[in-house]
Formats: sequence, structure tokens, C-alpha cells
Amino acid sequence: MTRRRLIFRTLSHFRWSDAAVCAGIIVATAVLTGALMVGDSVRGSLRDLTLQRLGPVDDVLSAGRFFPQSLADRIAAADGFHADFEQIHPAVILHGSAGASDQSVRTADVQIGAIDGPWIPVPSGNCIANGQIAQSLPGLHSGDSLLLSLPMPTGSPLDAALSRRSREDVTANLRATCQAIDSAHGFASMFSLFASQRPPRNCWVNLADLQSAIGQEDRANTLLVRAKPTAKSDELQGILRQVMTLGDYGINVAKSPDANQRVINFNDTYFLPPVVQAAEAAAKQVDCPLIEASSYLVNTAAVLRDGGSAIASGLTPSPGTPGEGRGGGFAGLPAPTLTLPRSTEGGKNAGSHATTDRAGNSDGMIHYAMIAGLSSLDGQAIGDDQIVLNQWAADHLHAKIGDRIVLQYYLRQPNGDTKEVSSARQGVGITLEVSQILPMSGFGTDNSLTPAYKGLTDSDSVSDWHAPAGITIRKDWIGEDDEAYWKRYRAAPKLLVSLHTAKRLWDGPFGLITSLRIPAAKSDAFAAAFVKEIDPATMGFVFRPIRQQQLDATSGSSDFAGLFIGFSFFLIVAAVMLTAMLMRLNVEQRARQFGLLAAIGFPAKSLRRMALAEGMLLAIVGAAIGVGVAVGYTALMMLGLRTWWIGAVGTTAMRLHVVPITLLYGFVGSVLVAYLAILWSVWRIGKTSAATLLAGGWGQRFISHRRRKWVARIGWLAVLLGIGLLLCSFGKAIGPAEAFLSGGTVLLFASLMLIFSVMQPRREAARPQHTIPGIGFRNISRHLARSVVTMGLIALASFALVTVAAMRGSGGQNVADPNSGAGGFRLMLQADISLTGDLSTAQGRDALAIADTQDPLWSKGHFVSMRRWRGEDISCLNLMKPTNPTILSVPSAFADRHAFTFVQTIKSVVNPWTLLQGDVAGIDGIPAIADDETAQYILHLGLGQSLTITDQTGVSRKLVLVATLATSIFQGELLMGETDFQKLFPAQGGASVVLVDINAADAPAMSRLLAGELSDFSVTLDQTADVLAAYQNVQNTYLATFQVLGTLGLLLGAIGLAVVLLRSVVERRAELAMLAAIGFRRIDRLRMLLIENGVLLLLGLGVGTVCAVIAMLPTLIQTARHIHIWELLAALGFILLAGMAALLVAVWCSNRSITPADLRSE
Amino acid sequence: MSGDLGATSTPRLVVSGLAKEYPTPAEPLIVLQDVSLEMSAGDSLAVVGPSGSGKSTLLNILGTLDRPTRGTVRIGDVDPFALPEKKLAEFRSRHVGFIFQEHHLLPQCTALENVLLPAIAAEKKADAAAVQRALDLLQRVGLENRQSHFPSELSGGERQRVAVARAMMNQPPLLLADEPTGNLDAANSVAIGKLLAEAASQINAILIVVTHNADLADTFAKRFAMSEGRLNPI
Repeated sequence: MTRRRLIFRTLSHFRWSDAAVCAGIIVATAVLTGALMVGDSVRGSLRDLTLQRLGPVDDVLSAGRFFPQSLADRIAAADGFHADFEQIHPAVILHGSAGASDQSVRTADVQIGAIDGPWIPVPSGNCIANGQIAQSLPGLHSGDSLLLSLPMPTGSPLDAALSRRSREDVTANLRATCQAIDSAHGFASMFSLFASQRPPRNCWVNLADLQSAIGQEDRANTLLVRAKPTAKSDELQGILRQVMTLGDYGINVAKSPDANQRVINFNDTYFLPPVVQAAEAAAKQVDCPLIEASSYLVNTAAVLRDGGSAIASGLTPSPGTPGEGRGGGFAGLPAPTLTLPRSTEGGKNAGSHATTDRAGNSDGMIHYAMIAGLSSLDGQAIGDDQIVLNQWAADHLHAKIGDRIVLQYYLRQPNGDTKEVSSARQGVGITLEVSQILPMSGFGTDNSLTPAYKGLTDSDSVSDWHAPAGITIRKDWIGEDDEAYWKRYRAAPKLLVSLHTAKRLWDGPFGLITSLRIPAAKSDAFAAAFVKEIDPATMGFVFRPIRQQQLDATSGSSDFAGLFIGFSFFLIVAAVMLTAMLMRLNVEQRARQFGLLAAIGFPAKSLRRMALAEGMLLAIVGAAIGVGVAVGYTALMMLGLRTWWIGAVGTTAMRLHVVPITLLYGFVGSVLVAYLAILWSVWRIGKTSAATLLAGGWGQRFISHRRRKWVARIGWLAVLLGIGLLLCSFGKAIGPAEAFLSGGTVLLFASLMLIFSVMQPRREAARPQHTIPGIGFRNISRHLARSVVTMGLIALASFALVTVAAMRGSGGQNVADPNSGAGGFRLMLQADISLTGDLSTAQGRDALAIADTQDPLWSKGHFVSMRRWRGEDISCLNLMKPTNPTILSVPSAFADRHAFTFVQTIKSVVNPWTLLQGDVAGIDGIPAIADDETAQYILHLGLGQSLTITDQTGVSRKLVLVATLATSIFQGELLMGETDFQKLFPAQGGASVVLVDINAADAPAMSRLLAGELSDFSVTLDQTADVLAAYQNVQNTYLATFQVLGTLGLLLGAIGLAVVLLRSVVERRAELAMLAAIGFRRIDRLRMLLIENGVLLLLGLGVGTVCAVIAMLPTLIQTARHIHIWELLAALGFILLAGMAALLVAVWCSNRSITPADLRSE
Repeated sequence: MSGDLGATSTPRLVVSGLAKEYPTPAEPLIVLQDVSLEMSAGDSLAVVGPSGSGKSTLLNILGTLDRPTRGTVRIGDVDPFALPEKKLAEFRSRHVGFIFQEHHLLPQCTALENVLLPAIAAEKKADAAAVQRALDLLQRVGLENRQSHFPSELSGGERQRVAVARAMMNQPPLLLADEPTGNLDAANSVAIGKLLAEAASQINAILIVVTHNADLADTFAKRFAMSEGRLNPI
């Protein structure tokens, strides 16, 4: 016989009560390990999804522009490719919409793609749609015809004044027969360049069909690579640099008219500044002169007479007439306006004193002339205040050297409209002195200075010009001389200025230079150097290791393990407390045994160690079983995430993943926690004298008044600590969630400590109790630790359930309120094909080819257009960790609305939207605004902290968070000032997001109008209330999870309450027998028991509720939410009912007749 | 070692001015006052008195299960209450044997194992010699055939005999019995009383018995009465 054997004997003898302790440990282990495993399972599921989504693709080049698809073949043929890579396929991947061919139903946000090669072969005329499209187009079957809307590449930036922007210019259609609907979780169904667990809408078509539909035959915008396991993306980029040609970049070299030079043009019209820098470096390398040219169209060039203080003949000062070109006055002089000559019969201008030719060209005025800015002319720079005319222009302007010229031309406004402006307008104030008149040869008639402008340069005559939307070509301003010039010289510029002047007059964020010129003799050397100097990344030619990047993103923006531990926190604590209490009951019932062993000579420490050893054996067994149960628990949680809680994750792909090391962590963690609980339970062994133990009890410990006060003081200090933690969230030292959990927990335990100190039995005679309720109340102090633990169990459950009930949002913000999360906007339109006109203006609606631009409904709505850089959704709807967020531009006028509510700003300003404009003092980077919850939980950014992105020209940019919004519709994007946006993403012209402010009554009609008129632009129209509700739904789903786990905690609390009551009855059987013997009726005894335990229930409920409300306050204040009172009361009622039910069951079970045998032990 | 507390003529148990008080809101509750006693090896003593007179409290203090408010107890040359807690437990395991009214056998242990408990307390495990001694003790109390039976399988008298055997396991110099026959019938009471006396005599231990049983008390040469906390010879 050894002590060890005694331990095992004891465990065996008390196996039922040991089983109860073990059960508590099993629950705690299952929940704790399960929470960790949920994290593993979510990560594992996201990983599986990623691998399914990417299929064979390891690396991708998504250029954002089209290039010859033969680039893929050249890369494949390059040295070193097949050492590390297996396949490379060109592809076209676009975003548009798909709909029934009769357009009865349509869905936007469709990825329309085609891949050359065997991965997703699609015969001509067919398409393969995925299950998501089939869901969005009810009734879609194989064999049905689909109409796909696609963006048409325009060949020049949409923001350029001369770019083609009308509906037929920017959209294309493709009809295809749905060959199959692929709903399997695989490459075709799920492929996306962006990491998200939400399945995209994919439609795969035949490559040649798609290329033909968008006018990009034999061209691609994407390269997909399958790599060998050891490959590195750097190697691929190196190979790319080796094989790239100027043609791949869209750069063409042609002969100048006199063949002495080579003219270098760009498919997208304007060279990006980094490419110009590369050209300059190449020219320097090969030591050849480089001429940079920027071409534009002026509507009118006019001569100023009398030194500029008078108006050119033929022009009279007048207030101007709406609709006519209106100059802005001359710098420094009072601002008369120029009234351009009206068309009159016989060539006479009404209202003017000019003599005009039959075309209406007045003396000193020409129309629709090309102008070029040059870096040098014949080796010399043109002066910044000078202009060179060719002879034709000089003759028609009647200009001579020294005369001053003013120009009138179109400029693209930020909203997409064009506005005719004067070079002399305020803020620019340019009039140009004629410094030279060129003969009609050489640069005087060089057509190659003007790039191809579709609709202009390809017309046979000026009268036939089909100008882009927003540009009005007045036929009455075109004369025979103009046509003759066009016939002979085409678009040869009539006017030349310096490049600096050109920059001041018509520079845009997309670039200035439209052509480069080098001597013919140096062209080969230059071309070779040029292609080497260009950094492919500046043009979007970068291979990225998409598989690795998306796999890295599966770690998630939120730690799901931590999230579930947070959800389960109270359940875990409840299970541990229940375990501790059951173990303590075990120990208490063996008082006489411990007394005997002490009397025999077992030292107190030895007894504690033996009891601890018993407990630890239970802990190890319980934890081992618990780990097994955890697998089932996790499987249940994953089932929940696939079904009831799908709102939080948005995919049915969540599956159980078991990681052995996590099981070990869970096991070890649970054993440790159980150890602490058991240690608390057995600590009292040795603190009570053997004599008292032998008498069957642990003694009534009376703590001194002084000690009780100390306990109370510590309790109050803990209360202050809890409140302090809650207040820390205001100072942003910790987040609201952390403050809630930590502060709330501390407050809970502080409250229990205070109750413990107040309810301590006192040696001094209390007021004698002479009622049954009074006796019941007094009995609470008999086993105070037990009572407080029971209260604690109920308090924990109450805390969790009350929080959920009170915080559950209904998504019912008043969207008409400018301070709401919708900013007063009722509708949110998203377009996959950028809207190239401002819906607020007639010109914009014309550009969009709106059928009825005069519909009064247009004037009832206020529209705010935002550009978009398509990246990852950074809202709570995306579980993947974002690295490339979607960014929206905020127009400067947006600030005037004073809309939305800000949670925090980097500095105190009246209007935080102004923080996006100009320099914000003290920040090193580009200011950005985010939704507060997105910033906290997804991006993990605080104010002043930055996030690095790569802009459209391959430059790394630091975005600095300067303000956050409260629960807004912008949870999926970052917001940036429009000026900064255009700098970073110059090619992103047009609006992809439009916010619509309209009254409720007209909103449905507006919605129908927009959807009908703009369907070609692949638009999605949402009510902002629905957008907010979708985000709220995620939060509500998380709260629902919290609620389920809180309910389990309540179950444990109810079990604890019932166990305590049953145990109390068993222990006090003799006492109850005595009460019966002296005349207490059964109902009296039951009342006493119910009151004792009912008080525990009510106190626990009260403590949990009060602590929850206090803990929620910082979150409620900071997010401008309110407590849902009725839900709160319902939760309280539920808890009360559950607790009372447990009590009644326990009382019923214990309610048997008292027998004389029960008295015998008294 | 066991039972040897010094020269046979030297008192082995010396109690001087023992007092035990419990504080109450009113005035202290005096359970024992000015109790003094000297006993030598082989002495036996019965303590009688009404309920609440302090008999069990006296026994608990003599057995070091409780501490006195005032006064001293010396067992041999040792003041047990001056020892640190661990040493006190060890001292108790070797020098004190208890028999309780409620026998207090561990229900999860057999009769033999219950008897071995003091050896385990003293030496952490019971070796072969200890086991043999336990078997001898069970034989002495007439339960050699019941060594592997659990307490639930023994009668009240049999349980108390196991308790007596247990008390003697380490051959303590001091045997204390608190109402050892309180739960037994008359026949068993007599048997237990005899057993106690024999047991104490065998190991030359001091035996102090607290009892209500007048017949049992009469078998002792020395008898004391507890009254209002004071111990007075009868």
C-alpha cells in the first residue's frame, strides 16, 4: 500500500463525483481546444479554397493594358523558362455583366475571361458560366444564350480631352451560348485575381471571340504561369525584361515625313512620365537628341491687338452669352470676355464688328487648329511666352512677329465634363508672343507631331470630324481653307509652343508627351537602350506570385482562433469555475477523511498534494477526452459556419481541419487551467484543524473586520481598474473589443469580490432572523465560496447574453440623415465599366447616351461620382488578409456636404473631409480615410499609421490613415482625395461608384431609371440601407455565435446552480430532518431552499447585467449605437426562466420524505 | 523507539495549566480551564463528564489535533506545539494513536490498508515489515480473516476493532480514545474496552479514554471528571 495506491483507490471510490469534475474539464477543454481548432479550420478552408481557386496558376501578370499575346510564346522560348516554369498562357480577363439575351435579367460584377490553351477551352460562340452566375440569373440552363457586356479599351486615358468616352466607345457586347454551368469548387468556377472566400461570378468565353468583341485581336492583358515548386517570381520577371520589346509596351516607331527622324508613338496616346524618363535616359546613353512633343487641339487662336489691352478686331467685349466660349479675362487686367463670332449669313457676324471670310474666320482668328508643345525646335527651345506659327496660321491670323496670341480650347473637368477655357484665364494668364513663322515645310507641316485621335485624324475632312463626347465642332467655323489645309497637311500642327507652356495649358495626370523624335541614324541604338531603360513595372508588366500571396492572405485579417476564444471566453471560464466548484464539493464532502488522515499524521502539505494529484489525474483524463470532444465540437462549429452563420463567412466551403500541434496546445492549456482550478479547491486542506474536519465540517471561518475591509478595498480597486480599462478605449490605447472583454471581466470579478466581502459571516451577532426567507438568506453565507462561484456562473452567462441582446443591430440607420453611415445617400451605384459622364450634368448624361436627359427625375437626384481602383474588399465580408485594398476617390466638393460621422481624426478640424485635400501637417504620405471598424479589425491601422500599396505606375506609396468613419457604407474601401487618386492611378478615368441622394418617394423610380439607362455599363444598384445591413449582418452573425456560446455558458450556470442546491440538500439532510421534526412543513423547507438559491440567481443576473451594460458603454458611445432595451429584457427573462427551471428541477429531485434515519446523524 | 519517551519513572505526559477558549461577541467561551495532568508509561485514565464539558476538546489538544489557548503539553521531552507543522504531523504519526467514536475508516481501503495508514503517514509507504505488523494487529483484534474486506462489509464492532488496530500500528506512546464504544452495543462495548486496555498494556502506552459509559469507566484505576472545563479526579 502506497500513497499512490491510496490516490487511485480514492478516485475509484468517489468515481461519480470525480466524473462530474472530469465532465467540467472535458467541457472546458473541448471549448478551448475547439476555439483554437476553429482558427485552424478556417485557415485550412481558406487555403483549400485558394488552391481550388487558383488551380494551375502560380504567377500572374495583369498589366492593365493590352499587349501582343505572342509575348507568352517569347517568354516560354526564353532561356531559363523551362528550368523553373512549366507553362505560360495569355489570357484576357475583364469585368462586365452577363444577362439573358432578351435583357430581361442581368447581373453585374462578372469576371469575363478567356485563356489561350488547355486549361479552360471554350469553343467559339460558347461560354461556360459558373454556379454564381446561374444563381444570379434564375432559369439559366445549358444552351441558353447570354449577352455579355464588356469594357472596350479606348486607346487613350479617359480623362484626356480628346479621348473617346461615349457609350459605344467604352462598351462592347458579346453573345455566347451557355455551353455548361460549372458549379464545382474548381479553377473555372472560382478563379479570381483577388483573394476572397466569396465565390466570384465567372464566365469563360472563347479567346478569339473576346478579342474580336473588344477590338484586340491577338492581344491579351494577362499572362498566367504554372511554375515548378522551386521557381521564384524574380526569375520570371528577369526573363520578361529580356524578351520585352517596344511593341509589347505599345510603343511604335515610324518614320517622320522627311525620313530624317523616327517618330515614337504610344498606343495609349500619352506616354507615362516614367517612360519619358526612360527615353531621356536612353537618349543620353546613345548620345542622341530627343525631342518630346505634346499635341492638342485648340478651338480658337486669336490675335490680340494694341498690346493686349484691346480686343482683337472682330471681337467685342460683352458679358458673354451662355453656351458660347467664354474666356476668363487677361491676367492683371479687368476681365472683358471674348465673344466669339456667331455664324451669320453672308459671313457677317451678328453683334460683331469684324470682317470675316466666308468661313467666319475673322481677321486675327483661326479655329480647330492642332497645336504642339516641343522640347526644342531646330535645336533651340521655344520661349515659354512665345508661340511659333506656320505660314498658313500667320496668314489667316494676319499675325506678324511680336503679335500676341490667345488660345481657346477644351479642358476635361474632374467630373468628366469638358469646359472651354482661355489660355488667358485667371490662374493661368497665358498670352503668347509670336516669335517665329515657319515655312510650310519641315515642322511647319509635320503631320507626325499629332498622334492618332480616333474620329479626328482618321476623317477625310474637318467637317467629317466625329469628335468625342463633350467636344462640339461647329461646322460654321470650318471654311474652305481649313479643308484645303486638312487635305494637304492633315493634322499637322499650325501652332507650336514650348513644352513648359503645353504643360501649363493642358497637362493631365495621365501624362503630357504624345510623341518622341530621334534622329533616324540613332533609332536602332536608341530603341535597344529605350526598351532596356523602361522598368516593366511602371507599365504594369509585373509578375506576381499570386499563389504565394493568396496563400499568405489565408492567415486572415482577423485571427479566427482568437475571435472564437473571445466568443467562448465566458463559456471557458464558466466551465473552469464549474470544475473548481465540483472539485471543491468533492473535497468538502471528504472532510472527515482529511481529518482522519491529518490525525494519523499526514502533514497538511501532503494531504494537499494527494488531493491535487487526484485532481490532476482527473484533469489529464478529462483533457484527453476533451481534446477528442473538441474535434466534434469544432466540426459542429464549422457546420454552423456553413449554415446558420454563413452570413459571417459567405461561403459553404468551411471544413474541419485537424492540426495535431493545436490539439497538444489545447491539451496542455486545459490541464494548466484545470490545475489552477483544482489548486483553489484543495487549498483549504490544511487550513482547517483536524479536529474540525473530524467533526465533519470545514468550520465557520470568520474573517476579521479589518480583513473584510481589505477585501472590499481590493474589490473597489478592481472596479476602478475595470473602468480604467474601459476608458482606455476612448484614448485608443486599446480597441473597444479588448476593452470590453478585459474591462468587463475585471468588473465582473470585482463585483463578485465585493459581494464576497459583504456577505462574509460575521462573528458579531447579526439581527436575529425570524422568518423563513431570512433563514434562507443567512444560509448563503454558510458556504460563501460555493455561493459566490454559483453567482459567478450565472453572472458570466448573463454578461454574454445581455451583451448580445443589447448590441445586436437592426441595420436600421436612417439613411436620409447626412450623419448616418450612408451620408444621406439612398442609393449606391457600382459600375464595372466606368461611367464617362457626370449624371448631374446634361453634358455628362449626353456622353452616357442617356435616352431622356431631360427627365425631371434627374434633377431630383444629387449624384456624387467616385473613381475606383479595383483591389480587394477590405470589409468584414472578406476573410482574407487584404494587401491591395480597393480605393475610391473623393471629389473635393464632397466636403461641402459635411456628411457622415467621423469616429476619430488625426487633427481637430471643422470638416474632416478636408484632411484629404492638400498637405496634412505632419504626415509623410498620402492621406486616406477608412471606416473605423475596417481600420481596427481588418487593416489593424491606427490614426497616423500607414499602409503601403503599389500605384498604377509601379511606385510604392504610403497611405496614411487620417480619419475614420462610423459604421459607413465604405467598409470595403479606402477613401483618397481625387487629386491624389489621379496622381496614383492616372488611367482610372470615369466613375465606378456613384452615390445618389434622393428622397424616399423617388428612390424606386430613380433606381429603375439608372438600371435601365446604364445597363451597358454593368451596373449594380444597391440601396445604402441594404449595404449597411449586409455589413451589420456579419456582425449580427458573430453576435449570434456569441449568443449560442453564451447560452451554453448559461446551461453550465444552471447546472452549477442545480448541483449546488442538490448538494446542499444532501449535506443538510439531517438539518432538514430536524426542521421537519420541529414542525417545518415541506413547503416551508422548499421555500427556504428556493430563496437561498434564488437569491444567488438574482444576484448573478444583476451583476452580469450591470457589468455588461457598463462594459458596453464605450463601444456604444464611440459607434453612436444604442442599447436594444426589449432584446435586453427578453434576454434577462430567458436567463431568469432557465435558472428558475434548474432550481425547480433540483428542488423536485431533492423533495423526498425525511426519515428517522436522517435524524440519526444529527 | 515507539513508546519510549525516556526513563520509566519520568512522566511521559505532562499537562500544565491547559486552557482553551473560543472568542464570541459577548465574552470568551471557556471550554477548558487550568487543566493539569501527569501520566507515565502504562498509565490509563478514563475521563467522564456531561456533554459540552470539554472532554473531546481535551483529547483533541492532547492529540495535537487542536491548539490550547494557554498552557503546555509535553509528550516525553517534547512540546509538540513548538514544532513546525510538518514536524508536528510526523510527531503525531509516531507518538499518538487515535480511536474515534465514528471509527473513521476510509471506505475505499480494506481493513488491512486502513491499519497500514499510520505507517504510510510516517514512512510514505508501507514496507513488508509494516504489512506484517498490520497483519499481527488484525490477528490481535480477531480480524485476521477480514483483512481484505472493506468497511462497508464489516459490522460496527469490527470496524471499531480495525480502528483500534490502526491506532496501534506505529506503537505510539499515547493512545487516545474518544467515546470508543459510543456507537456500539453493550457486548461490543465491553470487548472494545478490554481490547483497548490490552493494547495499551502491550505497548506500555498511556491510555486516555473519554467515555459516557460508566461500565467502561469503572474498568479504569484512574478516573477524572470534566466539569465546567476543569478536570477533577474522582
